[in-house]
Amino acid sequence: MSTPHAQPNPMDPMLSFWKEAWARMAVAAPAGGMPGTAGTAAPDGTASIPGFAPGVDPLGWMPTPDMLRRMQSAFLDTMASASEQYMRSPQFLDQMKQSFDAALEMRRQMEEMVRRGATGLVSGDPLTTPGQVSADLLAGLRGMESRLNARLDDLATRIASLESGAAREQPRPVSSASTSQSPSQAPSQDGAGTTTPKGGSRAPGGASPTKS
Amino acid sequence: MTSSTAPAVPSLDASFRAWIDGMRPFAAVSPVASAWLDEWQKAGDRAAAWPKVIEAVKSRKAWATPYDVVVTEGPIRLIRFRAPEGGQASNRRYATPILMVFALVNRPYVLDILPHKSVVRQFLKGGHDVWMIDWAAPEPGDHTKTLHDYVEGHIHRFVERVLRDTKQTQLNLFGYCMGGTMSAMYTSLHQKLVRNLVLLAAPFDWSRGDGLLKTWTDERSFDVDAVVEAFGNVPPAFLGQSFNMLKPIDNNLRKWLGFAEKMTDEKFLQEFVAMESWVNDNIPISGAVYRDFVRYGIQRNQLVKGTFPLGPNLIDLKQITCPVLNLVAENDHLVPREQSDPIDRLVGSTDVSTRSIKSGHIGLAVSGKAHLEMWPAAAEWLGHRSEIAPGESGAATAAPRDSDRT
Repeated sequence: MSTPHAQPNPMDPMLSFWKEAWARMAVAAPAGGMPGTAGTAAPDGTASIPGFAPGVDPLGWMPTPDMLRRMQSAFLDTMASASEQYMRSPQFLDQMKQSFDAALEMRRQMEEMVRRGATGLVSGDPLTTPGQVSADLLAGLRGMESRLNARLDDLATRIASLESGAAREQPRPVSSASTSQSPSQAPSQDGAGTTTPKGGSRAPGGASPTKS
Repeated sequence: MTSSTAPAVPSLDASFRAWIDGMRPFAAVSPVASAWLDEWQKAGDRAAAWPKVIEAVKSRKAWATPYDVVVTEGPIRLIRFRAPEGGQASNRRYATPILMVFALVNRPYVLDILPHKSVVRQFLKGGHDVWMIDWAAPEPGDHTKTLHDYVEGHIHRFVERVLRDTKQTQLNLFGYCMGGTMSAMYTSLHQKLVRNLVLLAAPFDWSRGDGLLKTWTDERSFDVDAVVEAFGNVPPAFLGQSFNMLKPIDNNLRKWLGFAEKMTDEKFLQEFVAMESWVNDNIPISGAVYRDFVRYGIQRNQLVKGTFPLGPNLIDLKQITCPVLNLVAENDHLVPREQSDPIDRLVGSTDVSTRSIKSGHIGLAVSGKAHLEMWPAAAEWLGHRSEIAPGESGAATAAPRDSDRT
């Protein structure tokens, strides 16, 4: 025999959240209670009509900004603990898995579509490889190319600086004690991220580069 | 002849202030009304502060301390810091260099984010020679690079370069978060090259603590192979959102409410902008590294079992015999301290010190408390155990003190 009361109420999590939020906010509010219920008790403890008792703040029934801030903080605390609880729940983990699977499947289908499109363009070409492999190879080659380019640029700079150093030294008499500066091997940077040649000009506001 | 000038138009800010001042006598009868008037005044101040916010964002610089790029490997850079006030090597009291290894998911400049909140400067001030690996974003073709490629490849080559340039035989290795785990792996394989190991919020035992990341990456609900297969390099948006969702209310609501409260304070504004810039500066991580770390570390906890594979090796942390300084945060939601603490029994060292402060994961690097107490002490700890530079006096090594173990 089924018992209808054994079924969990789907509204329970929502109700418990609001119950906890109100409880926390009530604690955060001053002893008088929630805004609007603070009352206007006179100093002698007798109740009075707002604005008509001597020595009583006529706006005492209103919440102060500090009180609202404390209540806001209590509400956010409740939200934080509820969200953490939810993100650890099996329901959330199941939903996360389903979302992941759907997103990854969509991505896979898109790649498949692009691959088919690319294959169609060069149909009959026996050298056509699957899209992913081609993309990987191209990405690898691009990375290698950019590293080689950077290395070549570095070498060209060093050769240029060597040549300019040699050209400066050539016309001088052998007896002169010239002290040529060694070419830089790496750029140096100041805090702002601007690149300056190592051993070059002093960085603005900073020290001259160290020898490394 | 007199020149006529148009009367100055009061600014909106001044007009608002004048209106508030005009209302004060009426509000004086009620403390509640006065409090609300003060609140209006603050709102006006906040509105007037927006140009300063925009200026702070525009003038933001990533690094606080000047440095030299010593060598690059693709986008990865090995950098060496200069003394900030124009001082040079003469400021260095210790010959043993420090190499900082950061995590692969963020940029490392959080360790040098502002002049008064720079871990790098704390060590420079302490007389150390500071180097750092700036991983930068991997290239699309790097998605097959494994943890072995990073530890035995990049880190090892950079260690050799630092030792060659400084003419030393050993260095101090400093690792933050995932970089700490990688530093420990490297030390276990090359103990002879590492004089001291400093770990900052580095995870080792994933069976402990109840962090959300561990829950989310559970093998039953998270297929790491599928993620890597789909993305190649794991994109920064994926990582950034994961970190953001660890504390969604704090990161998306409370933070901005706090910002609105304090945005008129220039020091707060400078620090807030610096941190926000860094937090949103996630970089992708190589897919193969992500897979290694999640599968063998977070999901299967193989590091503490001595079965974490790194290329042809299995990582045995007992091979670490140098002094170890373990720095942890008590309120770390990313790497709960329970995951870092076991390092003292996992390594073979007899000199292991643990220090903790009440802060979060990033607070270890940037909080005022850390810079007041923890970092000067860490620089001193390392100084006691480092080689003294030629011409400097003092004991090269000092026995560990009881006070080091806190």
